[in-house]
Amino acid sequence: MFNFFDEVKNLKNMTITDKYNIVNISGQILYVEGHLGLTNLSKENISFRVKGGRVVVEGTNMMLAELSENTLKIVGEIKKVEAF
Amino acid sequence: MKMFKKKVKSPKSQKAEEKRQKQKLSTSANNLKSRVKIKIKSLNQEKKLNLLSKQVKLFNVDRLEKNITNFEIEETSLKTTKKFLLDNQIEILEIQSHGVKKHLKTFFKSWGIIAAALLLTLTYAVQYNFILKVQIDGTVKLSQTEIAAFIEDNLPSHFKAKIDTQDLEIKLKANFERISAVSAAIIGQTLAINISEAYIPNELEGDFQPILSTCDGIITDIDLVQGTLAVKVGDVVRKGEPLVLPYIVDTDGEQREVKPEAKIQADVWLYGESKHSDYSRRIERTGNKKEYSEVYLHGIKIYSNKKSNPFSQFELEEHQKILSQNLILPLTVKYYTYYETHEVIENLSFSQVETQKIAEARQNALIYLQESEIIKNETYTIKSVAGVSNVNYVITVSREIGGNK
Repeated sequence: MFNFFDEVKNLKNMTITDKYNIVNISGQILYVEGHLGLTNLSKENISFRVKGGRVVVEGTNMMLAELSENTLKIVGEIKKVEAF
Repeated sequence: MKMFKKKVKSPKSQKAEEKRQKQKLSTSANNLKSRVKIKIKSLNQEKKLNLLSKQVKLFNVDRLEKNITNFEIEETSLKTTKKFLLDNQIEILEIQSHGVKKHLKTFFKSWGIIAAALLLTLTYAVQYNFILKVQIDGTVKLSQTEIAAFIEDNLPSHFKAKIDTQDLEIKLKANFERISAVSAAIIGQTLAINISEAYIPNELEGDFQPILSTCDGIITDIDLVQGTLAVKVGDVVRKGEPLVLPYIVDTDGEQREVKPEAKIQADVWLYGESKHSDYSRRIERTGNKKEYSEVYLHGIKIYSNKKSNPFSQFELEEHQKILSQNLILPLTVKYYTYYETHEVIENLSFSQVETQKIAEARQNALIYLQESEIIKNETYTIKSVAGVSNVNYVITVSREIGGNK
């Protein structure tokens, strides 16, 4: 089956450790694979743990559209995504 | 020449449009899904949501306040979610189901409403095929009740399909001479009958019955308006005899029916009678009496002081009384009163009561006198046979006796 992330990794011909994948769609949807749990949830700030660090998403009127064991989807006006 | 420019959408607006369409589709899809919206209240919610998300998939997690959050789950996960929330001591503020499945469930749960709606629809569909009302318009002299009764008798059925309005029109015209035109139509569930009555001159209208004498008498005056006379002045007529016949003979010698009209005056005799016997017997009470009583409970006699009747000739009177007011105990008392009587024999000759008996007979005759009638003559006869005398009183008055004017 076609997997977008696998295809991207193979194209670059790089060895990438599987930590997490984040896709930002037009600053309105942020899709995350491989999160390890929420650390903060508000309309302006959503942060979650990932392997080897933490990701902070800032924006306005944000909401967690989906949350499963290892994936999440944020919708809203996404201004900034920072990984620490 | 006017030119029309085709409006071309810019790539940006096209994208926005596509996005709107997608959102619309997504919203519709979400509406179809059966989800449960849960509002919770707890501290350290992130940690608890992380734990919950390991068991069930969460949607639209929306933090309303610091310790209040809304989220949605699939309906199938409700049991697991509730257990998790209870185990983790998270307060559930609200649980709200939505989606097609929920609506269908509610709909099918309310089977009573469905059954009633179905029954109502079925009843309406069935009864719509029947006539419920007959409306008659245009009648002036004809009785609507009579026409309605006729229609009711002549309708093969109240089922619309079986009603032949043309046939009904023909029957109505044939049965009611006064109808000059009639139309019958089925409007909704009403059978509408519109009638035009024919104009019939007064002299030709009616059931053409003769004028009959209303009482016995001797005719003194006749004023004929129309019809044929069956009597003349000086004739003695009995009650019920025809005075004027309901036809005329025209100049061609043909008999033509008319409504008879006349004013016929006659001397009428009013009779009164009184009777007297020279020898008479009557029973009178002596004044002695004996009273007894009996008490009954629910129809069963429980007390009696009744003894044998001491009188050889007597009259008995009895009456009953209910003792209890509230009828809890159905106690009744029957009172018996025996009155002693004796026979009184009277010998009174007619000459002693003659005036009184004549007045009594006159009074009996005057009962038949009508208002404003003038007495023309009074006479009486007395017949005495074997001690019994009869007074017959006759009052002669002038009266209009034509009873069919």
